[in-house]
Amino acid sequence: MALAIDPLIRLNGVSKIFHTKEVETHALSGIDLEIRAGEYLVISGPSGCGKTTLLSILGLLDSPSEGSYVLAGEPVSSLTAAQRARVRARTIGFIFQAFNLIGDLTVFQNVELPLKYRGMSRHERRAAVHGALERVGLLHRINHYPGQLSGGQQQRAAVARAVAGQPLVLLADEPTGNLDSKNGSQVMDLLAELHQQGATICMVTHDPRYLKQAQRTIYLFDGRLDGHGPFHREVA
Amino acid sequence: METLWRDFRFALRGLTRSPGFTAIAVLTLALGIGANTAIFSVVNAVLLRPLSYSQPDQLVSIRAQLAGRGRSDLPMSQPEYHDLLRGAPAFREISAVWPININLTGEGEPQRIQAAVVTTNYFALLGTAPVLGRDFSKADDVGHIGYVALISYDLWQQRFGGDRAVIGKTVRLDDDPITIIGVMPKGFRHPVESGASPMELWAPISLDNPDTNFMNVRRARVFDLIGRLQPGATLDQLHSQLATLTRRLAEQYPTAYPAASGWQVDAVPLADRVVGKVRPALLVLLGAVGFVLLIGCANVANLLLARATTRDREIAIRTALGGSRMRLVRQLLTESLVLATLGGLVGLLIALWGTSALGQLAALYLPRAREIGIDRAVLGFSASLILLTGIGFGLIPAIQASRPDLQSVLKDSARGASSGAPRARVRGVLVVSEVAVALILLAGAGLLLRSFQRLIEVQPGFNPENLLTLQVWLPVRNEPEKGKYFTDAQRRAFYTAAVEAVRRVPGVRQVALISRLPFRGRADTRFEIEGRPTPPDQPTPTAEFRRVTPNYFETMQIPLLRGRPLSSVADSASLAEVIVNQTLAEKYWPGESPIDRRIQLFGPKGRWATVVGEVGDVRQLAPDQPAREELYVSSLYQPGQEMSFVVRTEGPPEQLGTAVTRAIRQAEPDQPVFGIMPMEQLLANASAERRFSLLLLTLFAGIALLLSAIGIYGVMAYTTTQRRHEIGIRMALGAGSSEVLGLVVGQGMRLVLIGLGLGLTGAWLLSRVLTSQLYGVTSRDPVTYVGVAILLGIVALAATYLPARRALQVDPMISLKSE
Repeated sequence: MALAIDPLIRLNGVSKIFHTKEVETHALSGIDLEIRAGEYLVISGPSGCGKTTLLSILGLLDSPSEGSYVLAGEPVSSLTAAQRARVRARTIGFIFQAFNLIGDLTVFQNVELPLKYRGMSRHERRAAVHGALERVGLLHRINHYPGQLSGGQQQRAAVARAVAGQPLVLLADEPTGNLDSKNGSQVMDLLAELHQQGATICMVTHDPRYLKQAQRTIYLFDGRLDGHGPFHREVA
Repeated sequence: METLWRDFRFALRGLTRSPGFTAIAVLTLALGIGANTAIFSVVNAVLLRPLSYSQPDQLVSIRAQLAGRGRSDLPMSQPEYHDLLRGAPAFREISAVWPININLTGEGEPQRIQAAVVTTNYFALLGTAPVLGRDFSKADDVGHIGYVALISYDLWQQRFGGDRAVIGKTVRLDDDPITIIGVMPKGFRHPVESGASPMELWAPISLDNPDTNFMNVRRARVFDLIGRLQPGATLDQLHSQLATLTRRLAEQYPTAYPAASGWQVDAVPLADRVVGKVRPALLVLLGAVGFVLLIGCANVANLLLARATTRDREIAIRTALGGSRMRLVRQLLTESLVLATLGGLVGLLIALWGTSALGQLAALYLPRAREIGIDRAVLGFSASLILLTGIGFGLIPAIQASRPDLQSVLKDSARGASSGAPRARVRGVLVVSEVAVALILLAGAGLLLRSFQRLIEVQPGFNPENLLTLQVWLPVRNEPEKGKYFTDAQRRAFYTAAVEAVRRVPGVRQVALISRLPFRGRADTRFEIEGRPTPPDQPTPTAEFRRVTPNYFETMQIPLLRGRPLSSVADSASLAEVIVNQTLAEKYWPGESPIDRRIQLFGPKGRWATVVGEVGDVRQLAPDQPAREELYVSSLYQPGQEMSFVVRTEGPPEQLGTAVTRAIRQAEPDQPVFGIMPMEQLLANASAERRFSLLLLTLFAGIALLLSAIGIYGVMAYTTTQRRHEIGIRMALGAGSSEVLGLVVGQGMRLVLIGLGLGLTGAWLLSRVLTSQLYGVTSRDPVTYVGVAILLGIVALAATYLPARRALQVDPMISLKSE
């Protein structure tokens, strides 16, 4: 999964301002951030500090109001929605707090979905889905619907969906937020294992238990990077 | 009762809170119920309501048919009337009716009216007495046509201003004085009359009187016979008596009834004869409008299902608090019934308007069109419709809503996963049904439209543009020799003067005369070809027969294919000339010229004429009936009593009607001129029944298309809103606009395609009901089926595309945040 291009992600002076009728909200201000290929980074901070906004910009779900974003050597901050969708399908894997599996699709179909958008052949998709489900230990549930799985299983299926296309970076937003501690630990172990296999992971969490798994933690406060936050830790 | 009242108030409050939903549902139902009520009012008046005569089920209509000559629905003759009186004891009595057009003069404008010469028992047989004056009596049986008459209520009002002193007044009918002895009640109608020309006067005739022997010929078939059965007698008994009688008569009079002619006498309930051929067309329209209501109900059911989703929590709480399922279903059904009632009330307003519009639209051809209106039966139908629709569209959503899966409600709100599968399935089924039903209606309308298009493309055989037509009838008095137009010379003088006067009217280019205009009915004659006498066991050939002025063909722009026009000299030599049409020429002289061949006109004892020309075919009977054999002779020397003018004009012909009438009146001030109509109008009137069905079915199909589009749009818009979260996930996972569009449109179009498939099958199976109304296309015309499927597909695509476009605006950030 690791890529020769380094850093894999570079944000320079990224700001995000939300405009409502009368109020201008600065969700992010002057973020400079580099994420190296194969790195495991945690973004932490209190509620409303801009963690999810930052993750959305990293995941190309949103674009910055100011600043530049270079992903795998390509400037991506001013791409059109269609171009962003293509880059997302090719480069990024998402894991959400609420799993966000599609209830009407089987586990196989859920995991297959991003691969379809990538334009992979049926044969390639099948192989990739089986491989990913095997990695998360859910091959035996391949034809089940999400409603038939436990919360932990659903999140493992979501992880399988995120990694099936071997994206350059995995973005995880509070992946344990909806799980009990046992299932949460299993998912975090899975992410650690993926990282050991070379995955680049960028995870938002405010659960201190999982901070130590990351190589680096950055702390956000009021939309700004606060290098001196309580859990700030640089890679050794 | 109190619970019901509470449910009603709750339903009303709920509907007031959602004015948009209520308005759409009420309008949809109003359209469906209104259209159904309007069409039912026609069906009720024409097909269901008993005839307004005393004991109408005892009344039968007696007509003849000549199966061997392909002729049916023929009147009867005077001797046959007597035969029936003697030989069919199932009849208590029979009245003979001879419908005629006659000139009414003497007070006010000269007028051409529809009248009937009837036996004196006519009104007594129908069980209706005059509202003013008296009925005919035996004393009025003076022989020939009587000198007294009863008039219709409308004629009394219009011509005599409702003056009660009309009784005893003398008017002139075809120049003969006649005394009015009675006025029939308002609304009294002759059983079989066209809406365009209602019967306005009845004069008596005695069929026992030796004076009427001039009609005592078996071939003089002029009488419509109406019979009243003996109490307790059945139609089967009558049929059996008629079969015996006709067999006996055929043996007794072999010349009048040759075996090859296949002469039979039919007796059908009078109501069936009155309704005529419109029954299938009306039933098709009733079915079609029922389909529109079904689509409307499907739409409202869909709206209710969508609304139920938003009320899951409310219903879950009610269930948790101990509300029974029955109670919930009842409450939800009350809401549907309130909606249906509101829809029904607005629908009644639509029906009031629609009924009057339909009455006017159908007046030209629909029997009993004047009786169309909203009565107790129609109101009862509407009330039943309201009840049925209220339960129909409300029951499934009510049952669905009354069993909320609490767990799934909670799960849904927790995870936003789509789980309303049963409702989605029901919605899917409703959309599929709507599309299928709409396709059936569109296929029907499409077939009629294609038929009509074919009919418009039909060349009638002449150029109908800028052509004014009008008719005159020179009166024939009871003692004809006393009439002003008894001799050929008298008639020639009138027509010569009238044609000259018309020719001088500015804007007139050409004027010609013909004894009967195209599309004004049959006028045939028997003939023989020289050297080919008809074998005695074969029917003598017949052809449409017209007297024309020699310039008729040029005026009508009918091509002269061979030979020359008729001689323009008005002498007896012109009687020996005949022109034939192409069909006749090809039938009797295939591949040869008919010129100089000889034809014996009017059958074996008629006069001989030489063919001087061959002209193109004219569809004399109707635009949708192929041309028959046609014979034309000159009218110059022996013009008929009744002649029609064809006037080729420079501009719009309708503008010259008054001037041309005035010109004819210069020749004879007391002469009514009637049937003034551009030829194009005459052509259109000949297709009035098709036009009526086409207009209504197209209207219903259009409404069905619109409602289906709204239904599909509504379901897709709702589903898209429900799937915003899923669409957000898909976009986050890399779905581009084409994938999102494909997802939403694909989901909608899958349902549409299933609906189209089912609709095509349904249309295929139901196609036969339209067969009798089609012309030039088969009831399974593939072009129509494919065409309407494509049209509906495109509309459905548009209806799914709009919600799909909206899906593209889903911001994955927001929809994922909504978790």
